[in-house]
Amino acid sequence: MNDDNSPRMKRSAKRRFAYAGVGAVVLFAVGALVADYNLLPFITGPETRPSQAEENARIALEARKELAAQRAAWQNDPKAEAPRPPTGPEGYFQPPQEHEIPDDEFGEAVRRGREIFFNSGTNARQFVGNELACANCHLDGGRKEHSAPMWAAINNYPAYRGKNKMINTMEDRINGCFTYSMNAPDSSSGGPPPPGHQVYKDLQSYFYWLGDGAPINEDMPGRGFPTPDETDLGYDWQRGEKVFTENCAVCHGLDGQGQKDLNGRYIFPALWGPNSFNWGAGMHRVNTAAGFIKANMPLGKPYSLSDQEAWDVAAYINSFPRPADPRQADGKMSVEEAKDKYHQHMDYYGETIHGITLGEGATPERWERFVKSQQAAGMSAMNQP
Amino acid sequence: MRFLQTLYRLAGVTALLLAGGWLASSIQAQDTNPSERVADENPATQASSDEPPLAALYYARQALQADVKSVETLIGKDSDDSWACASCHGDQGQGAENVPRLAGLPAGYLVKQLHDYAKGRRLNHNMRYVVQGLTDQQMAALGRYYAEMDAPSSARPSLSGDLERGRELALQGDWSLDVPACYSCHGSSGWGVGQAFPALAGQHPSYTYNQLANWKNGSRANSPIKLMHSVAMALSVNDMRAVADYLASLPAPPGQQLRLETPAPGQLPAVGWTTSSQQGSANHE
Repeated sequence: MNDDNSPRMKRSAKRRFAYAGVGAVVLFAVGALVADYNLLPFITGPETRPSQAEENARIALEARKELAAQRAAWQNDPKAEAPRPPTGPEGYFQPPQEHEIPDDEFGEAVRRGREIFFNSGTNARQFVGNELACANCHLDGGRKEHSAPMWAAINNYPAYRGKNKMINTMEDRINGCFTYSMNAPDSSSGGPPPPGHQVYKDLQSYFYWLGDGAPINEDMPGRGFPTPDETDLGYDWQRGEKVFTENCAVCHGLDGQGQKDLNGRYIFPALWGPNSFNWGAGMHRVNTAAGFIKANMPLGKPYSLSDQEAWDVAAYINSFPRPADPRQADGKMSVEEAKDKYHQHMDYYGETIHGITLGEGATPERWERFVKSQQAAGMSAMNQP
Repeated sequence: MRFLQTLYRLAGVTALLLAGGWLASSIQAQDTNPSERVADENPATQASSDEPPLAALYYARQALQADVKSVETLIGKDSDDSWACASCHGDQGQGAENVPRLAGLPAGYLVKQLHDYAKGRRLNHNMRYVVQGLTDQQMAALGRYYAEMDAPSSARPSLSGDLERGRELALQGDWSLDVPACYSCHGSSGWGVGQAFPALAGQHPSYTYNQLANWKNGSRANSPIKLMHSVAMALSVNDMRAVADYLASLPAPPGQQLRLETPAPGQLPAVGWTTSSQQGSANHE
């Protein structure tokens, strides 16, 4: 007797075939649901492989630990390897982490300096004449490479500076930041912190702490702002207007005046006008601004603009009125004289753009007149969705 | 006959599975459903290139002229061709789980989202259904209605995220990933900035988490100059959980009163805002 021909077995074959079919559909459906709804992490539990962030943090921590170990070894053994600058995931200098600020008097000064750096208008308000903070240009609290990091600056002073043709201490340099970038002449005290002021000491404590382990008098990778490659077309503020509207205005406003949050705090800084840096600040130079923008703007999207766009938008930002260069105002110079003496570089100082001579300070009256003339000219960008 | 029976069973199981799938999809965020991301008809990724960066400001101006009373029934009552907003978002606009809190978000941002659902820059079945019956005026009025609403936070951390890491991302960002602090665009309390940057504080963590996931997988492609896309791409699942939970632990933003800063139609951006509690002392800036 042949079992294969029995009705029972025939049925069984069909049934098995059907079950296999149903099984396949069920498995497929389950698999599709898992994939569709990304349920795998819920089944396997949270990620066990370290994320890029965790890996970066580990490298940073290791680098600082290694420095500590090398220092300890070198202290008692002149033949031991000299401590080397710790480097982070991308090879740039690795400053210490916030939780490593010591719990002592020095640590307190570091924390005060850090507060001044982030909230300059609150913690050094009598010396700040606009709505900027140090951290607006020195991103990540002065830690970020290619954003003039403080760890690359602190150990390079005293240094000779062409700007004032003499050796500058770190305090002199900070004084310059207050005078120009923070527009100190319009502050309540009328100028930068006087020599030896606690503000300098606190800021320097913060920088000194950030630069712990950095070499002395070395041009470190990531220092300052990068120098953008010059383009065949040069720079042009009129081309820059489009770049600005498309990439910058959503944060800094179509009128470049920045935006505040509900607490009245400037979240996006003003790029020109009375609340911005003055005509003596480094950022008014088109090349300096282009380098900063290329490497850092829009925030979180570094190097997303082309060289040409960076140059043009830097030119656009610096084609508007801003507070006067204190050297011109104090020296009772004409803009023309100041241009010859201080402005032989890439800027629009002394030129007439938007119907106004640039370099004449954006006093409240002048600024009001300028805004009205701009409004009368009309800005059409708002009329399209 | 046996064969037919088997066929019936097969049909039954398939129907059951379909029903299960449908049930799951109604529970699950439809924003995150990648099956919607059919490559050739995904307008989200196509539309992103012509995304006007100042759209939120433009819509805020519309909202300023909108009549809130005209949409009150729309919000509170189901109609034949739409559902009441409050039926999902709550009668205080407080949201729940994956349905976002709307109260106190900028009007311009809210109106833009409605238009983006309509245009397919943001994908969600329910919202696409809801917006198809809305006029531009109604969208503008709805934005204003919810922007002005004042509701305490009903959000709580629920994703077992690392709150310390979330705090770090919110306050400082992670520059080793080119991720700026949330607060550097969304304001110093996470209460939003201007019309384009919505409040994050007090938002429901599953919603925040899902939006980050959506930017990552492309089913949401409507952030100005793709800012959120870059951020989301850099964040791990754990980071997304951490930051969503941390933001949910914060107090929600107060309602915002729209006001005209410089009454010069057709000229410089003219929409400002104050909190509800600051009414009366308007133009404080």
